[in-house]
Amino acid sequence: MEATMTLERFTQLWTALVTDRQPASEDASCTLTNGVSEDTIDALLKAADDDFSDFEEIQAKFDKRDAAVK
Amino acid sequence: MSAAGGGAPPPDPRRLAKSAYGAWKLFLKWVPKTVTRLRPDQEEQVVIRACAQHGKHLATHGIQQTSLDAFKLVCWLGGSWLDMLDREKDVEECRQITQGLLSTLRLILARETEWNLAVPPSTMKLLASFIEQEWRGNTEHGIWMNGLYAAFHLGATSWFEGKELKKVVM
Repeated sequence: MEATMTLERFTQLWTALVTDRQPASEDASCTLTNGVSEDTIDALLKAADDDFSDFEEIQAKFDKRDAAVK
Repeated sequence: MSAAGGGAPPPDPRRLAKSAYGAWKLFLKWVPKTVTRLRPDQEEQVVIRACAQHGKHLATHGIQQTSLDAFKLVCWLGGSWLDMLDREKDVEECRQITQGLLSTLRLILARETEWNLAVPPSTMKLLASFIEQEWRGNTEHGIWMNGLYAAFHLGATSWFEGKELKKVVM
């Protein structure tokens, strides 16, 4: 299935509902940080441009393995 | 993935938003083609609900997002979509969307941990059954998105910590 929503619209929603709600870094309650590695972020940025090759490569190996262990 | 430590510089907002969009497109890509295509207004609702949940989660737990937590966002996107289904009529759609959700999380976990954590098919089936039971209202035997997120987050962060620990003590 392909997204019909554009990056521009997604960014508007993300900014309003996530970025603008985020606690300030100087906030004392902000003791946790999280997020995936830059390597995975790079692969997700490619996915945003419809290049899923990094994940397709992983899936192909999973498919092979899953068929063997089922 | 970093699990703790305040004071990190804020990420580039455009890069963060685009990576989040990439996570949404990745999830959609792995949803089986047999699932009824989302209408634009439905897609908008899924994304709004997921982003609102994601924002509230960060605020509630005082989390500073240093990069995209893809596990969390994908869980919220999946949960928002599943919540919009008819509990009586859409059982098969639930299963198919769940399959796409779990496949996406599995791919991200494998990539994030350099192939060291690979969820086996038997565990994929178990998680799918947990999600379906929760979706049906059988919460005693179910798991929903915060629990699902915790399962994948725990795996990834523990793998990183174990790797660092080995460097220090071995």
